Amino acid sequence: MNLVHLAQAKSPWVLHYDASSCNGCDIETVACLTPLYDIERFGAVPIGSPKHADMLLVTGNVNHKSKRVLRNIYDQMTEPKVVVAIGICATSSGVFHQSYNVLGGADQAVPVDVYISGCPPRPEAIIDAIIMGAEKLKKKWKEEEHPVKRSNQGSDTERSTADVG
Amino acid sequence: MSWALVGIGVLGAPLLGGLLFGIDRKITARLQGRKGPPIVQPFYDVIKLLAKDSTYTNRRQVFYLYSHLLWMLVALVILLTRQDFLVFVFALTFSEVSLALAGFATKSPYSHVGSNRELLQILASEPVLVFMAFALYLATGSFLTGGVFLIDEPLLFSYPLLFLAVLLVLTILMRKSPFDISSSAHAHQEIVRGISTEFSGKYLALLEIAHWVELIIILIIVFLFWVKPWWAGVLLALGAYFLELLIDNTYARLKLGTMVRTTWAWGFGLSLVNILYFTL
Amino acid sequence: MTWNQFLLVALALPLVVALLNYLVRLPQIRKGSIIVMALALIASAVWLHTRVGDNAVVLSFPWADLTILILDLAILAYITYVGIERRHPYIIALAVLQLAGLLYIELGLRPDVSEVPSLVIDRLSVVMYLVVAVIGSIICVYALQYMEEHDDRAHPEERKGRFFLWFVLFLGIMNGLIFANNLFWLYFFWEATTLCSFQLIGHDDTRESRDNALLALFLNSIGGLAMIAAIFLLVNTFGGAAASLSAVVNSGLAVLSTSFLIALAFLVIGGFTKAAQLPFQNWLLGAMVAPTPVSALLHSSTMVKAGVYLILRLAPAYSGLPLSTAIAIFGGFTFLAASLLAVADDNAKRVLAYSTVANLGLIVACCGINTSLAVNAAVLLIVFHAVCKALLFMGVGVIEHNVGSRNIENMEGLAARMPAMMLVVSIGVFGMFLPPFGVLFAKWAAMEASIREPLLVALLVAGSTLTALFWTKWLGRMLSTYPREEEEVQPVSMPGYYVTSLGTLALGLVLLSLGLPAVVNGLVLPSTMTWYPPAIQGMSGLNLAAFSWANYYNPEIILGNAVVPEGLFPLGLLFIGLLLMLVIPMAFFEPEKERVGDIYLSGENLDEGPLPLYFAGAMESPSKVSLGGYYFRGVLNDRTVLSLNIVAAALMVMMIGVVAS
Ligand code: SF4
Repeated sequence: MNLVHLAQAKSPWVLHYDASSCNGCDIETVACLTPLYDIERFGAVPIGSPKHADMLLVTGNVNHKSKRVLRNIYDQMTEPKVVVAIGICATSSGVFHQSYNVLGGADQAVPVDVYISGCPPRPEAIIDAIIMGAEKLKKKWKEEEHPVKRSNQGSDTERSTADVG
Repeated sequence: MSWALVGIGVLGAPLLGGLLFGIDRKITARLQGRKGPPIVQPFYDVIKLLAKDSTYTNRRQVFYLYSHLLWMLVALVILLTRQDFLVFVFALTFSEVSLALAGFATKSPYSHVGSNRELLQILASEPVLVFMAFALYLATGSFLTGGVFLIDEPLLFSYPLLFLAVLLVLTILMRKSPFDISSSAHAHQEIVRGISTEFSGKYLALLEIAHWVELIIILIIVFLFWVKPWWAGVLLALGAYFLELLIDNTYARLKLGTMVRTTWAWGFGLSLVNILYFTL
Repeated sequence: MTWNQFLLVALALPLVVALLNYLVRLPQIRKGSIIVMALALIASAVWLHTRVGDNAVVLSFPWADLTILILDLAILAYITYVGIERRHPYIIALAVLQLAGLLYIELGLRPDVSEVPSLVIDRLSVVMYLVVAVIGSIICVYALQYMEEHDDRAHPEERKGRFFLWFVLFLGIMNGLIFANNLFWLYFFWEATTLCSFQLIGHDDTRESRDNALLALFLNSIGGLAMIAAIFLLVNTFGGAAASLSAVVNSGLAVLSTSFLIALAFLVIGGFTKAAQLPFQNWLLGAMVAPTPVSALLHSSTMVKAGVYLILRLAPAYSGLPLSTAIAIFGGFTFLAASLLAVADDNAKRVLAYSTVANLGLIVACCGINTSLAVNAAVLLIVFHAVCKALLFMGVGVIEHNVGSRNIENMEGLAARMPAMMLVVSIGVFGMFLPPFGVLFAKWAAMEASIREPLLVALLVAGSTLTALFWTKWLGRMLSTYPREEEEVQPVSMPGYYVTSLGTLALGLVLLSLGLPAVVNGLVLPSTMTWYPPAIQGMSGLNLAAFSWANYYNPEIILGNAVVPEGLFPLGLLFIGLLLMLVIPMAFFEPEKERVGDIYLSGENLDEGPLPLYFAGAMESPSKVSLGGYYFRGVLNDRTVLSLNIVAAALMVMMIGVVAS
């Protein structure tokens, strides 16, 4: 049991989806892979298929078109899984709020577990969020062992306390 | 070798292979100036995958995935018990064929691309291994792997060109650049996820474990080129492994056609020349 | 049962049943008589197996020589007539040449063949008879149902009568061919199989089938002419007593006499045409237009085997000569070339035909290698290839009737629609290259034997790799299904005749592979024991390593102080592997606990209809997922075929050159 928890915390495979970002957040996400930040030292690797992923990183606003895709990708991921909303767009749609073509943050399509604000957030903040997400993976797996009613939003979500840029 | 030892081998090979994969990732990271994941990272990954929920698309996919791992183990047992090398190649080929069929079992464009490529990888790598079986026979008078333990001169001395050919196809078998065509370890150069796109959870873990076993099999193949004294073979195998890591990190993936052409021109050619030279 | 009674069952019974079906066209009579004949043939095969020991049984019927000659002339006259009617000058020329040759031998040379035994039945004939009688009978049962679905035009009963006339007649002729020893008899049966094949290929009476039947007649006539030439050379040089197959095999004259050697080469070339080796492969490919039972019986499991059977039987005669090496290289080249062409074809029956040509090439190569191990591998290949191919052809026939196409691309997703056929085809395909099955064992033996000819090694290595490629490609197309497709489609049900015939053959293949040691010790080794010392040693009991082979006459085998066999086939270990392959998924797979996942389409999946067939394409329009296999048409096209044929023809010319020098 403990071994599984350890493994889950140490090996978050992430899938990155750009819901309609300005690419600012995407660049910062990719920057996490570079030698300077090296997210792989925490076991996190970017992965191509949702069927392999533990964590979905969403950047940008959810709009009418990306909602369906985001939902589909989320559905294809297997439990336990967490969603991390990166940047203010994915969190609440930021300056685009109430724009005619924007539905809102990522939580308009899928249940979000970790929010990071910032426009864009710095790589440190993203890494912090991923590790926070990995911790949540453990919790989710426990829930599956002893099923309790799961609330996807509200008190269950966490906010990164790292420095937001 | 007694069957108890074989049992230890079958259980130990994945562990050792996993560890080597961990070292691989660490070395790769260091070569790129990164800190890299802990050495036991592959085990974290597999344990996590085993604990994850799995989805499947149909029963045949599951069947062929198990078959992939199983025949990989059969191939390992044949090697460990020093049996016929040609039968070993057949078992290994069937294992790869099973993997391709597992990819084909789902009507998914990405896994199909991966499976088709996997088939071409078999096409590219199998001939050299079969040639190695013939080389074994010519050197020792027997197709049995055990034969090399009975001759005094290392196989490498009489088959240097074949060794080069084996090194060439090792890149394919180890799924390393520039020939990591069907499924790359690195996401950045893969169409979605290649052959494994549709595998999830514990089925993906099966695939990972099969990779570990495959790595050990590959190292044993290299080891056979220099079995006396044994540490020379081990050094040779580790040397080849490190060389592959270097190549992996310095080359981008090549095209499918390039792979088949290169291996058939060079791999096939070098092996054949070496065998003809030996027989004449 | 006496020998005469046996021959009545083996030769006369098919003739009677054939004529009965032609004259009385009643479905009940047809079904009844053919099933009875099938059972009788199988029983006679078992009887023969128990009766023939290590010494060959020699039977003489000098009174029938004249009848055979007259029938021969009749067949040749008929072929000439066909040539004239269809305006095919080559066929006319070949037939007239054969007629002239035969008449010259009979009237000019007047050979005295009274001393030559007409029929000789040895262990090799027994193996062939088992193959023909058992597989032939099973295919007959299958044909009963198949032709029911096949001929739905006017006068169906009449056409069925005609079909079964030639089909059943063929069985009797094939039995004669297997036992024939007198070369005139052999020649007669040989031409008669050509005739049956011609009639059956043309059965559908379309333009394509008539043309292809003519092509088959033409190419096989070349083989007939080669045989006549061989008989002429033998009779001319050595007199009538030489017109005996056993005398040719055992005389050992090949090193002494050039004309004997050339005669031998002509007989081998005759075998090449019947076995559709390159460059003669086109008739076999064209023959695929015939109804599937014909392909299954004549063009994969039995008639084409007659070609390699002759080459195999002659193997002791040319053993150790350059001719042998030439045959080996030729066979190896055919193996490689046919495998290469199979990769590029998308017609299932043609892929099977190419694979047949390739395997026959492998058998020819084995005969050419001419060591004990190789020859035993050849016999094993004849047996197992016949079973596998019959199964595969019959499977494809059923699929074709249900899908309405022979194209591999149209078989996509068959695993969900016809799970039973998927199983049958999988068993057949795996029979061809999954480790514990017989064909792979034979291939293993063949490859290990090929070490004597380094050039051949290269050909076999390349060919065998390609084999795995085209089989997997095909299986992959059939396996490819949508998630949940099984629940959505109704599986097609199978008529009883299909279940019986396909089931028997599939089960037989598995049992034969399980009982490989028994097959090797009981059938294969005795069949070549007269000429070759047994090379394969089956280990007794439940041993993990069931087979080893060693050239025990070679002192080099003893390395250091340890004795190591030259090769080892761990049948037990591989069967454990196969068993676990079936058991483990069943034990660990709990479908109810897992979810069926959608396929990944970059998140653009659309929910339309019950199956997830569509994704949102450009402008959100629903686009269907469609996939295809690799056929390498850019590299492998008609030009490749042409150049391969040229190389094969050159090789054959070289072979004759080797003999003549
Ligand atoms: S948060 Fe800022 S950087 Fe990120 S997608 Fe929105 S606008 Fe771009």
